[in-house]
Amino acid sequence: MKILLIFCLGMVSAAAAQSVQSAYAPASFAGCVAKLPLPNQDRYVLASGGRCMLLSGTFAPAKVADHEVVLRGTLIGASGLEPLTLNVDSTVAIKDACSQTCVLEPPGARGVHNKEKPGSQGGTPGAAPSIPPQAK
Amino acid sequence: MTVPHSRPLSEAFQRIKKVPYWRILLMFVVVLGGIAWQFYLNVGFDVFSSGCGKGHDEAHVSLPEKLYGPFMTLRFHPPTPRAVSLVTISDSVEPLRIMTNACDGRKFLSDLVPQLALLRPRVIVIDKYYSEGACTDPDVNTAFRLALNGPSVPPVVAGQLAVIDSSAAGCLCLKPAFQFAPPTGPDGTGPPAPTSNVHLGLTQLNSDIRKIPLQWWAHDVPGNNGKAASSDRPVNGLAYVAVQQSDPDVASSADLQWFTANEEHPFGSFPKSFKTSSAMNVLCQSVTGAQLVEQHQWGDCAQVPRTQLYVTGKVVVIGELVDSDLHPFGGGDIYGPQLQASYINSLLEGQYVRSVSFGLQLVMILLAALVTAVWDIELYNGFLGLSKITTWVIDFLLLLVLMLINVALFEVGYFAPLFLFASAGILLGLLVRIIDIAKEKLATDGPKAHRRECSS
Repeated sequence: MKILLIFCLGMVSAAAAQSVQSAYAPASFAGCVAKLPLPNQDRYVLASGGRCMLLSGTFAPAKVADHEVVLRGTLIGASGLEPLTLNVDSTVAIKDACSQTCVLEPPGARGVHNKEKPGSQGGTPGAAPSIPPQAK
Repeated sequence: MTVPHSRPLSEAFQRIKKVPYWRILLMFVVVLGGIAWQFYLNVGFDVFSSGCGKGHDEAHVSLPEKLYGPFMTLRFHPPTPRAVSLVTISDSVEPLRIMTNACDGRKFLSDLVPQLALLRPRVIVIDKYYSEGACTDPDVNTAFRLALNGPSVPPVVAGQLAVIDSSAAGCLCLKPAFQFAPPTGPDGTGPPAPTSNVHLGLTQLNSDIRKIPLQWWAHDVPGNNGKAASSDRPVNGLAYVAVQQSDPDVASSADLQWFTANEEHPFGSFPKSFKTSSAMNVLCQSVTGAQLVEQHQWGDCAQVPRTQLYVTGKVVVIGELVDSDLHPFGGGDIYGPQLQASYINSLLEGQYVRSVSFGLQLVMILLAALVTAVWDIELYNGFLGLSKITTWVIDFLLLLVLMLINVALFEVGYFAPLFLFASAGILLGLLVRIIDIAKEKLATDGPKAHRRECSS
Protein backbone atom coordinates (compact mmCIF):
# COMPACT_ATOMS: atom_id res chain seq x y z
CA MET A 1 0.00 0.00 0.00
CA LYS A 2 2.80 2.39 1.00
CA ILE A 3 4.67 1.55 -2.19
CA LEU A 4 1.56 2.32 -4.23
CA LEU A 5 1.10 5.65 -2.44
CA ILE A 6 4.74 6.62 -3.02
CA PHE A 7 4.45 5.59 -6.67
CA CYS A 8 1.29 7.72 -7.13
CA LEU A 9 2.87 10.72 -5.43
CA GLY A 10 5.93 10.31 -7.62
CA MET A 11 3.80 10.19 -10.77
CA VAL A 12 1.83 13.29 -9.74
CA SER A 13 4.93 15.32 -8.93
CA ALA A 14 6.62 14.19 -12.16
CA ALA A 15 3.55 15.25 -14.16
CA ALA A 16 3.40 18.58 -12.33
CA ALA A 17 7.09 19.19 -12.92
CA GLN A 18 6.70 18.37 -16.62
CA SER A 19 3.69 20.66 -17.02
CA VAL A 20 5.50 23.56 -15.37
CA GLN A 21 8.54 22.93 -17.54
CA SER A 22 6.62 22.84 -20.84
CA ALA A 23 4.54 25.85 -19.93
CA TYR A 24 7.21 28.25 -18.74
CA ALA A 25 10.76 27.00 -19.10
CA PRO A 26 12.61 26.70 -22.41
CA ALA A 27 12.54 23.12 -23.67
CA SER A 28 13.18 21.06 -26.79
CA PHE A 29 10.30 20.04 -29.05
CA ALA A 30 10.53 17.47 -31.82
CA GLY A 31 8.03 17.30 -34.65
CA CYS A 32 7.15 18.15 -38.22
CA VAL A 33 7.07 21.75 -39.45
CA ALA A 34 4.36 22.71 -41.94
CA LYS A 35 3.47 25.91 -43.73
CA LEU A 36 -0.05 27.29 -43.17
CA PRO A 37 -2.27 27.51 -46.25
CA LEU A 38 -2.98 30.73 -48.14
CA PRO A 39 -3.22 33.59 -47.23
CA ASN A 40 -1.09 32.77 -44.17
CA GLN A 41 1.64 30.95 -46.03
CA ASP A 42 4.31 32.97 -44.23
CA ARG A 43 3.37 31.32 -40.92
CA TYR A 44 4.46 27.88 -39.76
CA VAL A 45 3.16 25.27 -37.35
CA LEU A 46 4.91 22.44 -35.53
CA ALA A 47 2.98 19.17 -35.17
CA SER A 48 4.56 17.67 -32.07
CA GLY A 49 3.26 14.79 -29.98
CA GLY A 50 -0.40 15.38 -30.77
CA ARG A 51 -0.11 19.13 -30.21
CA CYS A 52 -0.17 21.90 -32.78
CA MET A 53 1.97 24.99 -32.14
CA LEU A 54 2.37 28.19 -34.10
CA LEU A 55 6.05 28.99 -34.56
CA SER A 56 7.53 32.38 -33.76
CA GLY A 57 11.02 33.59 -32.88
CA THR A 58 14.29 32.65 -34.52
CA PHE A 59 14.29 29.89 -37.13
CA ALA A 60 15.00 29.54 -40.86
CA PRO A 61 11.59 28.82 -42.45
CA ALA A 62 13.04 27.63 -45.76
CA LYS A 63 15.21 25.04 -44.00
CA VAL A 64 12.76 23.69 -41.42
CA ALA A 65 9.55 23.64 -43.51
CA ASP A 66 8.33 20.11 -44.31
CA HIS A 67 11.09 18.56 -42.19
CA GLU A 68 11.29 16.65 -38.94
CA VAL A 69 13.07 19.03 -36.57
CA VAL A 70 14.10 19.53 -32.99
CA LEU A 71 13.51 23.10 -31.85
CA ARG A 72 14.39 24.69 -28.55
CA GLY A 73 12.20 27.46 -27.24
CA THR A 74 9.50 28.66 -24.87
CA LEU A 75 5.96 27.45 -25.13
CA ILE A 76 3.29 30.11 -24.68
CA GLY A 77 -0.16 28.84 -23.72
CA ALA A 78 -3.21 29.48 -25.86
CA SER A 79 -5.64 32.21 -24.87
CA GLY A 80 -8.70 33.54 -26.65
CA LEU A 81 -8.06 33.18 -30.34
CA GLU A 82 -4.29 33.11 -29.85
CA PRO A 83 -3.15 29.54 -30.41
CA LEU A 84 -0.49 27.58 -28.57
CA THR A 85 2.76 29.23 -29.70
CA LEU A 86 6.37 28.09 -29.57
CA ASN A 87 8.80 31.00 -29.39
CA VAL A 88 11.87 29.38 -30.95
CA ASP A 89 15.31 30.23 -29.55
CA SER A 90 17.35 27.81 -31.63
CA THR A 91 17.11 24.96 -34.12
CA VAL A 92 18.74 21.91 -32.54
CA ALA A 93 18.40 19.50 -35.48
CA ILE A 94 16.87 19.22 -38.95
CA LYS A 95 16.09 15.61 -39.91
CA ASP A 96 14.14 13.83 -42.69
CA ALA A 97 11.46 15.37 -44.89
CA CYS A 98 7.87 15.02 -43.62
CA SER A 99 4.38 15.99 -44.70
CA GLN A 100 2.44 16.06 -41.44
CA THR A 101 0.35 19.11 -40.68
CA CYS A 102 -2.06 20.11 -37.93
CA VAL A 103 -4.78 22.57 -37.00
CA LEU A 104 -4.36 25.25 -34.37
CA GLU A 105 -6.82 24.37 -31.67
CA PRO A 106 -8.52 26.66 -29.18
CA PRO A 107 -7.81 26.42 -25.46
CA GLY A 108 -9.67 23.58 -23.84
CA ALA A 109 -11.02 20.40 -25.28
CA ARG A 110 -12.36 19.97 -28.77
CA GLY A 111 -14.61 17.35 -30.22
CA VAL A 112 -17.76 15.57 -29.17
CA HIS A 113 -17.54 15.88 -25.43
CA ASN A 114 -20.65 13.93 -24.63
CA LYS A 115 -21.05 10.19 -24.54
CA GLU A 116 -23.08 10.22 -27.72
CA LYS A 117 -21.80 9.54 -31.24
CA PRO A 118 -22.97 11.51 -34.29
CA GLY A 119 -24.71 9.51 -37.00
CA SER A 120 -26.06 10.66 -40.34
CA GLN A 121 -27.96 13.86 -41.17
CA GLY A 122 -31.64 13.98 -40.31
CA GLY A 123 -32.66 16.69 -42.76
CA THR A 124 -32.34 17.11 -46.49
CA PRO A 125 -29.64 19.40 -47.85
CA GLY A 126 -30.68 22.81 -49.16
CA ALA A 127 -28.50 22.52 -52.23
CA ALA A 128 -29.90 20.67 -55.20
CA PRO A 129 -28.89 17.02 -54.95
CA SER A 130 -26.65 15.78 -57.71
CA ILE A 131 -28.91 12.76 -58.27
CA PRO A 132 -32.59 13.72 -58.27
CA PRO A 133 -34.90 11.47 -56.25
CA GLN A 134 -36.13 8.62 -58.39
CA ALA A 135 -39.82 8.35 -59.17
CA LYS A 136 -41.38 5.44 -57.28
CA MET B 1 -14.13 -53.50 -43.98
CA THR B 2 -16.04 -51.26 -41.60
CA VAL B 3 -15.37 -47.54 -41.34
CA PRO B 4 -15.35 -46.36 -37.72
CA HIS B 5 -18.24 -43.97 -37.13
CA SER B 6 -16.73 -40.68 -36.00
CA ARG B 7 -18.78 -38.12 -34.05
CA PRO B 8 -16.49 -35.08 -33.68
CA LEU B 9 -19.25 -32.92 -32.21
CA SER B 10 -20.07 -35.45 -29.55
CA GLU B 11 -16.37 -35.93 -28.77
CA ALA B 12 -15.89 -32.17 -28.49
CA PHE B 13 -18.87 -31.97 -26.16
CA GLN B 14 -17.43 -34.76 -24.02
CA ARG B 15 -14.14 -32.86 -23.83
CA ILE B 16 -15.96 -29.63 -22.84
CA LYS B 17 -17.78 -31.54 -20.10
CA LYS B 18 -14.44 -32.45 -18.55
CA VAL B 19 -13.67 -28.76 -17.97
CA PRO B 20 -14.47 -27.82 -14.37
CA TYR B 21 -17.69 -25.78 -14.08
CA TRP B 22 -18.29 -26.03 -17.82
CA ARG B 23 -21.94 -24.99 -17.54
CA ILE B 24 -21.00 -21.73 -15.89
CA LEU B 25 -18.23 -21.10 -18.41
CA LEU B 26 -20.71 -21.75 -21.22
CA MET B 27 -23.06 -19.20 -19.72
CA PHE B 28 -20.27 -16.60 -19.61
CA VAL B 29 -19.30 -17.37 -23.21
CA VAL B 30 -22.90 -16.83 -24.32
CA VAL B 31 -23.20 -13.55 -22.40
CA LEU B 32 -19.92 -12.16 -23.72
CA GLY B 33 -20.55 -13.60 -27.21
CA GLY B 34 -23.90 -11.86 -27.28
CA ILE B 35 -22.31 -8.52 -26.45
CA ALA B 36 -19.59 -9.09 -29.08
CA TRP B 37 -22.29 -9.97 -31.62
CA GLN B 38 -24.09 -6.74 -30.78
CA PHE B 39 -20.92 -4.79 -31.63
CA TYR B 40 -20.34 -6.85 -34.77
CA LEU B 41 -23.80 -5.80 -36.00
CA ASN B 42 -22.69 -2.20 -35.76
CA VAL B 43 -19.72 -2.58 -38.09
CA GLY B 44 -18.15 0.80 -38.80
CA PHE B 45 -19.18 2.16 -35.45
CA ASP B 46 -16.45 2.10 -32.85
CA VAL B 47 -18.17 2.03 -29.47
CA PHE B 48 -14.91 2.34 -27.58
CA SER B 49 -13.54 5.41 -29.36
CA SER B 50 -14.07 8.81 -27.80
CA GLY B 51 -13.91 10.54 -31.17
CA CYS B 52 -16.78 11.43 -33.42
CA GLY B 53 -17.22 8.12 -35.19
CA LYS B 54 -17.86 7.91 -38.89
CA GLY B 55 -21.30 9.42 -39.11
CA HIS B 56 -22.98 6.06 -39.65
CA ASP B 57 -26.36 5.00 -38.38
CA GLU B 58 -26.19 1.89 -36.24
CA ALA B 59 -28.06 -1.15 -37.50
CA HIS B 60 -30.82 -2.29 -35.17
CA VAL B 61 -31.46 -5.87 -36.13
CA SER B 62 -30.61 -7.89 -33.03
CA LEU B 63 -33.25 -9.33 -30.69
CA PRO B 64 -32.76 -6.77 -27.88
CA GLU B 65 -33.03 -3.99 -30.48
CA LYS B 66 -36.29 -5.46 -31.76
CA LEU B 67 -37.63 -5.60 -28.22
CA TYR B 68 -37.31 -1.81 -28.01
CA GLY B 69 -40.70 -1.18 -29.68
CA PRO B 70 -42.65 -3.56 -27.39
CA PHE B 71 -40.84 -2.11 -24.36
CA MET B 72 -41.87 1.42 -25.39
CA THR B 73 -45.46 0.28 -25.94
CA LEU B 74 -45.41 -1.28 -22.47
CA ARG B 75 -44.09 1.94 -20.96
CA PHE B 76 -46.29 4.49 -22.76
CA HIS B 77 -49.40 2.36 -23.51
CA PRO B 78 -48.52 3.01 -26.51
CA PRO B 79 -46.70 6.27 -27.51
CA THR B 80 -49.25 8.85 -28.71
CA PRO B 81 -48.65 11.28 -31.60
CA ARG B 82 -50.71 14.12 -30.07
CA ALA B 83 -48.36 17.10 -30.26
CA VAL B 84 -47.01 16.86 -33.80
CA SER B 85 -48.30 16.48 -37.35
CA LEU B 86 -46.48 16.10 -40.64
CA VAL B 87 -46.66 17.97 -43.93
CA THR B 88 -44.78 15.94 -46.52
CA ILE B 89 -43.23 16.80 -49.85
CA SER B 90 -42.80 13.82 -52.15
CA ASP B 91 -42.43 13.38 -55.87
CA SER B 92 -45.67 11.39 -56.01
CA VAL B 93 -47.77 14.51 -55.24
CA GLU B 94 -45.49 17.56 -55.45
CA PRO B 95 -43.45 18.49 -58.53
CA LEU B 96 -39.98 16.95 -58.57
CA ARG B 97 -38.35 20.32 -59.33
CA ILE B 98 -39.00 21.63 -55.81
CA MET B 99 -36.72 18.88 -54.52
CA THR B 100 -34.07 19.13 -57.22
CA ASN B 101 -33.90 22.90 -57.71
CA ALA B 102 -32.97 24.95 -54.63
CA CYS B 103 -34.69 28.14 -55.89
CA ASP B 104 -37.92 26.32 -56.78
CA GLY B 105 -37.85 24.69 -53.34
CA ARG B 106 -37.63 28.10 -51.66
CA LYS B 107 -40.38 29.53 -53.89
CA PHE B 108 -42.65 26.62 -52.96
CA LEU B 109 -41.99 27.14 -49.24
CA SER B 110 -42.67 30.88 -49.69
CA ASP B 111 -46.16 29.90 -50.89
CA LEU B 112 -46.73 27.06 -48.42
CA VAL B 113 -45.67 28.60 -45.09
CA PRO B 114 -48.08 31.62 -45.10
CA GLN B 115 -50.99 29.33 -46.07
CA LEU B 116 -50.04 26.89 -43.33
CA ALA B 117 -49.79 29.80 -40.86
CA LEU B 118 -53.45 30.66 -41.52
CA LEU B 119 -54.36 27.33 -39.88
CA ARG B 120 -52.64 28.46 -36.66
CA PRO B 121 -50.01 25.80 -35.98
CA ARG B 122 -47.94 26.25 -32.82
CA VAL B 123 -44.55 26.02 -34.53
CA ILE B 124 -43.48 25.24 -38.10
CA VAL B 125 -40.39 23.03 -38.39
CA ILE B 126 -38.66 22.73 -41.77
CA ASP B 127 -36.48 19.63 -41.76
CA LYS B 128 -34.02 21.04 -44.27
CA TYR B 129 -30.74 22.93 -44.29
CA TYR B 130 -30.58 26.13 -46.37
CA SER B 131 -27.26 27.54 -47.51
CA GLU B 132 -26.52 31.00 -48.84
CA GLY B 133 -25.07 29.79 -52.12
CA ALA B 134 -27.50 27.07 -53.22
CA CYS B 135 -29.91 29.60 -54.75
CA THR B 136 -28.43 32.83 -56.07
CA ASP B 137 -31.66 34.49 -57.23
CA PRO B 138 -32.00 37.53 -54.91
CA ASP B 139 -35.74 37.92 -55.59
CA VAL B 140 -36.45 34.32 -54.59
CA ASN B 141 -34.32 34.64 -51.46
CA THR B 142 -35.97 37.93 -50.42
CA ALA B 143 -39.46 36.47 -50.93
CA PHE B 144 -38.39 33.43 -48.88
CA ARG B 145 -37.15 35.64 -46.02
CA LEU B 146 -40.29 37.76 -46.03
CA ALA B 147 -42.59 34.70 -46.13
CA LEU B 148 -40.91 33.02 -43.16
CA ASN B 149 -40.85 36.24 -41.16
CA GLY B 150 -44.45 37.25 -41.94
CA PRO B 151 -46.46 38.88 -39.11
CA SER B 152 -48.94 35.98 -38.82
CA VAL B 153 -46.33 33.22 -39.15
CA PRO B 154 -45.62 31.28 -35.92
CA PRO B 155 -42.00 30.59 -34.93
CA VAL B 156 -40.19 28.68 -37.69
CA VAL B 157 -37.37 26.22 -37.01
CA ALA B 158 -35.04 25.32 -39.88
CA GLY B 159 -32.11 22.93 -40.17
CA GLN B 160 -28.50 23.80 -39.39
CA LEU B 161 -25.88 21.55 -40.96
CA ALA B 162 -22.75 20.38 -39.15
CA VAL B 163 -20.38 18.11 -41.02
CA ILE B 164 -18.11 15.60 -39.36
CA ASP B 165 -14.59 16.94 -39.48
CA SER B 166 -12.18 14.08 -38.94
CA SER B 167 -9.11 16.34 -38.74
CA ALA B 168 -7.56 17.45 -35.49
CA ALA B 169 -9.84 20.49 -35.60
CA GLY B 170 -12.65 18.54 -34.00
CA CYS B 171 -15.78 16.64 -34.72
CA LEU B 172 -18.68 18.77 -35.86
CA CYS B 173 -17.99 21.82 -37.98
CA LEU B 174 -20.97 24.12 -38.58
CA LYS B 175 -21.64 25.05 -42.20
CA PRO B 176 -22.60 28.68 -42.86
CA ALA B 177 -26.39 28.96 -42.98
CA PHE B 178 -28.75 31.09 -45.04
CA GLN B 179 -29.36 34.58 -43.62
CA PHE B 180 -33.00 34.27 -42.57
CA ALA B 181 -33.35 37.72 -40.96
CA PRO B 182 -35.62 39.91 -43.08
CA PRO B 183 -34.27 43.05 -44.76
CA THR B 184 -35.04 46.25 -42.86
CA GLY B 185 -35.48 48.52 -45.88
CA PRO B 186 -38.49 48.80 -48.16
CA ASP B 187 -38.86 46.39 -51.11
CA GLY B 188 -36.49 43.85 -49.66
CA THR B 189 -33.52 46.17 -49.41
CA GLY B 190 -31.36 47.31 -46.52
CA PRO B 191 -29.36 45.42 -43.89
CA PRO B 192 -30.87 42.37 -42.22
CA ALA B 193 -32.95 42.85 -39.09
CA PRO B 194 -31.19 42.01 -35.81
CA THR B 195 -33.69 39.25 -35.03
CA SER B 196 -35.48 36.66 -37.09
CA ASN B 197 -38.58 34.53 -36.73
CA VAL B 198 -36.51 31.59 -37.98
CA HIS B 199 -34.50 29.61 -35.42
CA LEU B 200 -31.85 27.11 -36.41
CA GLY B 201 -31.44 23.59 -35.01
CA LEU B 202 -28.90 20.93 -35.90
CA THR B 203 -30.12 18.16 -38.21
CA GLN B 204 -27.26 15.95 -37.00
CA LEU B 205 -28.65 12.62 -35.75
CA ASN B 206 -27.26 10.31 -33.11
CA SER B 207 -25.66 7.16 -34.54
CA ASP B 208 -28.32 5.34 -32.53
CA ILE B 209 -31.33 6.96 -34.16
CA ARG B 210 -33.60 5.90 -31.30
CA LYS B 211 -31.84 8.58 -29.25
CA ILE B 212 -33.06 12.20 -29.47
CA PRO B 213 -30.14 14.43 -30.49
CA LEU B 214 -30.78 17.23 -27.99
CA GLN B 215 -27.48 19.00 -28.28
CA TRP B 216 -24.08 18.60 -29.94
CA TRP B 217 -20.79 20.35 -29.40
CA ALA B 218 -19.79 22.06 -32.62
CA HIS B 219 -17.45 24.76 -33.85
CA ASP B 220 -17.56 27.34 -36.61
CA VAL B 221 -14.32 27.40 -38.54
CA PRO B 222 -11.18 25.25 -38.61
CA GLY B 223 -8.08 27.01 -37.33
CA ASN B 224 -6.00 27.19 -40.47
CA ASN B 225 -5.60 30.96 -40.59
CA GLY B 226 -2.88 31.44 -37.98
CA LYS B 227 -5.57 31.90 -35.33
CA ALA B 228 -6.92 29.15 -33.15
CA ALA B 229 -10.13 27.54 -34.32
CA SER B 230 -13.27 28.77 -32.60
CA SER B 231 -14.01 26.93 -29.39
CA ASP B 232 -16.67 24.26 -29.29
CA ARG B 233 -20.05 25.37 -28.09
CA PRO B 234 -23.22 23.41 -27.45
CA VAL B 235 -25.64 23.74 -30.36
CA ASN B 236 -29.23 22.56 -29.94
CA GLY B 237 -30.74 19.92 -32.18
CA LEU B 238 -33.71 20.64 -34.44
CA ALA B 239 -36.20 18.82 -32.18
CA TYR B 240 -34.99 20.58 -29.04
CA VAL B 241 -35.20 24.03 -30.70
CA ALA B 242 -38.76 23.17 -31.82
CA VAL B 243 -39.65 22.27 -28.22
CA GLN B 244 -38.07 25.51 -26.95
CA GLN B 245 -40.29 27.46 -29.35
CA SER B 246 -43.39 25.39 -28.70
CA ASP B 247 -43.25 25.01 -24.93
CA PRO B 248 -40.36 26.74 -23.13
CA ASP B 249 -41.46 25.20 -19.83
CA VAL B 250 -40.89 21.68 -21.18
CA ALA B 251 -37.57 22.71 -22.71
CA SER B 252 -36.35 24.11 -19.39
CA SER B 253 -37.80 21.28 -17.29
CA ALA B 254 -35.48 19.64 -14.78
CA ASP B 255 -35.69 16.37 -16.73
CA LEU B 256 -34.38 17.79 -19.99
CA GLN B 257 -31.91 20.03 -18.19
CA TRP B 258 -30.44 16.88 -16.65
CA PHE B 259 -29.81 15.46 -20.13
CA THR B 260 -28.17 18.62 -21.47
CA ALA B 261 -26.08 19.05 -18.32
CA ASN B 262 -24.91 15.43 -18.52
CA GLU B 263 -24.45 15.62 -22.29
CA GLU B 264 -26.66 12.61 -22.87
CA HIS B 265 -29.39 11.93 -25.37
CA PRO B 266 -32.62 10.26 -24.21
CA PHE B 267 -34.18 7.27 -25.95
CA GLY B 268 -37.27 8.51 -27.82
CA SER B 269 -40.60 6.86 -28.49
CA PHE B 270 -41.90 6.23 -31.98
CA PRO B 271 -45.66 6.32 -32.60
CA LYS B 272 -46.82 4.06 -35.41
CA SER B 273 -48.03 7.03 -37.49
CA PHE B 274 -48.58 10.77 -37.37
CA LYS B 275 -51.44 12.80 -38.83
CA THR B 276 -49.96 13.51 -42.24
CA SER B 277 -50.90 15.75 -45.13
CA SER B 278 -49.22 16.51 -48.42
CA ALA B 279 -47.96 20.06 -48.92
CA MET B 280 -50.14 20.38 -52.04
CA ASN B 281 -53.20 19.38 -49.96
CA VAL B 282 -52.45 22.32 -47.61
CA LEU B 283 -52.12 24.75 -50.51
CA CYS B 284 -55.14 23.52 -52.44
CA GLN B 285 -57.51 23.77 -49.49
CA SER B 286 -57.43 27.59 -49.52
CA VAL B 287 -58.50 29.88 -52.37
CA THR B 288 -55.25 31.88 -52.22
CA GLY B 289 -53.22 28.68 -52.06
CA ALA B 290 -54.96 27.22 -55.10
CA GLN B 291 -54.31 30.48 -56.99
CA LEU B 292 -50.60 30.27 -56.08
CA VAL B 293 -50.50 26.65 -57.27
CA GLU B 294 -51.87 27.72 -60.62
CA GLN B 295 -49.72 30.86 -60.84
CA HIS B 296 -46.44 29.08 -60.07
CA GLN B 297 -47.43 25.88 -61.86
CA TRP B 298 -46.94 23.60 -58.87
CA GLY B 299 -49.54 21.20 -60.23
CA ASP B 300 -53.27 20.69 -60.63
CA CYS B 301 -55.34 21.03 -57.45
CA ALA B 302 -58.08 18.91 -59.05
CA GLN B 303 -55.69 15.95 -59.03
CA VAL B 304 -54.59 16.38 -55.40
CA PRO B 305 -56.23 13.97 -52.91
CA ARG B 306 -57.95 16.05 -50.19
CA THR B 307 -57.53 14.91 -46.60
CA GLN B 308 -58.48 16.60 -43.34
CA LEU B 309 -55.78 18.87 -41.95
CA TYR B 310 -54.64 18.41 -38.35
CA VAL B 311 -52.48 21.47 -37.94
CA THR B 312 -54.08 23.86 -35.48
CA GLY B 313 -52.18 24.05 -32.19
CA LYS B 314 -49.65 21.45 -33.29
CA VAL B 315 -45.97 21.50 -34.13
CA VAL B 316 -45.98 20.93 -37.89
CA VAL B 317 -42.92 19.28 -39.40
CA ILE B 318 -42.45 19.97 -43.11
CA GLY B 319 -40.11 17.49 -44.74
CA GLU B 320 -39.20 15.81 -47.98
CA LEU B 321 -39.67 12.07 -48.34
CA VAL B 322 -36.55 11.26 -50.34
CA ASP B 323 -34.40 8.13 -50.42
CA SER B 324 -31.30 10.07 -49.31
CA ASP B 325 -33.05 10.80 -46.00
CA LEU B 326 -34.07 7.22 -45.20
CA HIS B 327 -32.65 5.70 -42.03
CA PRO B 328 -32.55 2.04 -40.93
CA PHE B 329 -34.92 1.52 -38.07
CA GLY B 330 -35.85 -1.78 -36.41
CA GLY B 331 -35.52 -3.85 -39.55
CA GLY B 332 -37.42 -1.31 -41.67
CA ASP B 333 -36.69 2.25 -42.77
CA ILE B 334 -37.87 5.63 -41.51
CA TYR B 335 -37.73 9.02 -43.24
CA GLY B 336 -35.88 11.92 -41.60
CA PRO B 337 -39.02 14.09 -41.11
CA GLN B 338 -40.79 11.17 -39.39
CA LEU B 339 -37.78 10.81 -37.09
CA GLN B 340 -37.79 14.51 -36.22
CA ALA B 341 -41.56 14.42 -35.66
CA SER B 342 -41.09 11.46 -33.29
CA TYR B 343 -38.31 13.26 -31.40
CA ILE B 344 -40.38 16.44 -30.95
CA ASN B 345 -43.43 14.44 -29.91
CA SER B 346 -41.37 12.39 -27.43
CA LEU B 347 -40.01 15.53 -25.78
CA LEU B 348 -43.33 17.40 -25.65
CA GLU B 349 -45.25 14.38 -24.36
CA GLY B 350 -42.50 13.34 -21.93
CA GLN B 351 -42.29 9.95 -23.66
CA TYR B 352 -38.58 9.27 -23.43
CA VAL B 353 -36.29 7.18 -21.26
CA ARG B 354 -32.73 7.38 -20.01
CA SER B 355 -30.09 4.93 -21.12
CA VAL B 356 -28.04 3.00 -18.61
CA SER B 357 -24.37 3.61 -19.33
CA PHE B 358 -22.49 0.89 -21.19
CA GLY B 359 -20.05 0.32 -18.30
CA LEU B 360 -22.82 0.02 -15.73
CA GLN B 361 -24.72 -2.41 -17.96
CA LEU B 362 -21.62 -4.55 -18.32
CA VAL B 363 -21.03 -4.53 -14.56
CA MET B 364 -24.68 -5.48 -13.94
CA ILE B 365 -24.49 -8.34 -16.44
CA LEU B 366 -21.29 -9.77 -15.02
CA LEU B 367 -22.57 -9.37 -11.48
CA ALA B 368 -25.79 -11.21 -12.31
CA ALA B 369 -23.82 -13.97 -14.05
CA LEU B 370 -21.40 -14.16 -11.12
CA VAL B 371 -24.20 -14.48 -8.55
CA THR B 372 -25.72 -17.31 -10.59
CA ALA B 373 -22.33 -18.96 -11.04
CA VAL B 374 -21.46 -18.86 -7.33
CA TRP B 375 -24.91 -20.18 -6.49
CA ASP B 376 -24.48 -23.06 -8.95
CA ILE B 377 -21.03 -23.99 -7.66
CA GLU B 378 -22.35 -24.14 -4.11
CA LEU B 379 -25.26 -26.31 -5.13
CA TYR B 380 -23.28 -28.67 -7.36
CA ASN B 381 -20.82 -29.18 -4.57
CA GLY B 382 -23.73 -30.07 -2.36
CA PHE B 383 -23.00 -27.23 0.00
CA LEU B 384 -26.67 -26.78 0.87
CA GLY B 385 -27.64 -30.33 0.01
CA LEU B 386 -30.38 -29.34 -2.47
CA SER B 387 -31.51 -31.55 -5.36
CA LYS B 388 -30.77 -30.59 -8.96
CA ILE B 389 -34.42 -29.83 -9.62
CA THR B 390 -34.49 -27.39 -6.70
CA THR B 391 -31.30 -25.81 -8.11
CA TRP B 392 -33.03 -25.42 -11.44
CA VAL B 393 -36.07 -23.78 -9.81
CA ILE B 394 -33.83 -21.34 -7.92
CA ASP B 395 -31.95 -20.50 -11.13
CA PHE B 396 -35.26 -19.95 -12.89
CA LEU B 397 -36.30 -17.56 -10.12
CA LEU B 398 -32.97 -15.72 -10.54
CA LEU B 399 -33.70 -15.34 -14.23
CA LEU B 400 -37.17 -14.04 -13.41
CA VAL B 401 -35.72 -11.51 -10.97
CA LEU B 402 -33.26 -10.38 -13.66
CA MET B 403 -36.06 -9.86 -16.17
CA LEU B 404 -38.13 -8.03 -13.56
CA ILE B 405 -35.20 -5.72 -12.81
CA ASN B 406 -35.02 -5.01 -16.54
CA VAL B 407 -38.72 -4.17 -16.74
CA ALA B 408 -38.58 -2.17 -13.50
CA LEU B 409 -35.62 -0.17 -14.86
CA PHE B 410 -37.67 0.59 -17.94
CA GLU B 411 -40.69 1.59 -15.88
CA VAL B 412 -38.63 4.16 -13.98
CA GLY B 413 -37.24 5.47 -17.24
CA TYR B 414 -34.09 3.50 -18.04
CA PHE B 415 -33.35 1.31 -21.05
CA ALA B 416 -30.56 -1.27 -20.76
CA PRO B 417 -30.51 -3.41 -23.93
CA LEU B 418 -27.32 -5.27 -23.02
CA PHE B 419 -28.93 -6.52 -19.84
CA LEU B 420 -31.07 -8.84 -21.95
CA PHE B 421 -27.96 -10.81 -22.90
CA ALA B 422 -27.41 -11.78 -19.29
CA SER B 423 -30.91 -13.19 -19.25
CA ALA B 424 -30.17 -15.09 -22.48
CA GLY B 425 -26.98 -16.56 -21.02
CA ILE B 426 -28.68 -17.72 -17.84
CA LEU B 427 -31.60 -19.08 -19.88
CA LEU B 428 -29.18 -21.21 -21.88
CA GLY B 429 -27.58 -22.39 -18.63
CA LEU B 430 -31.04 -23.48 -17.50
CA LEU B 431 -31.72 -25.34 -20.73
CA VAL B 432 -28.43 -27.22 -20.49
CA ARG B 433 -29.34 -28.16 -16.95
CA ILE B 434 -32.78 -29.46 -18.04
CA ILE B 435 -31.05 -31.77 -20.52
CA ASP B 436 -28.67 -32.82 -17.76
CA ILE B 437 -31.52 -33.64 -15.36
CA ALA B 438 -33.48 -35.45 -18.10
CA LYS B 439 -30.42 -37.56 -18.99
CA GLU B 440 -29.88 -38.50 -15.36
CA LYS B 441 -33.54 -39.40 -15.01
CA LEU B 442 -33.31 -41.60 -18.11
CA ALA B 443 -30.18 -43.25 -16.79
CA THR B 444 -31.86 -44.13 -13.48
CA ASP B 445 -35.32 -44.93 -14.91
CA GLY B 446 -33.96 -46.93 -17.88
CA PRO B 447 -32.47 -49.90 -15.89
CA LYS B 448 -35.57 -49.92 -13.62
CA ALA B 449 -37.84 -50.26 -16.69
CA HIS B 450 -35.56 -52.96 -18.12
CA ARG B 451 -35.74 -54.85 -14.81
CA ARG B 452 -39.57 -54.55 -14.82
CA GLU B 453 -39.70 -55.98 -18.39
CA CYS B 454 -37.40 -58.90 -17.46
CA SER B 455 -39.34 -59.78 -14.30
CA SER B 456 -42.67 -59.78 -16.17
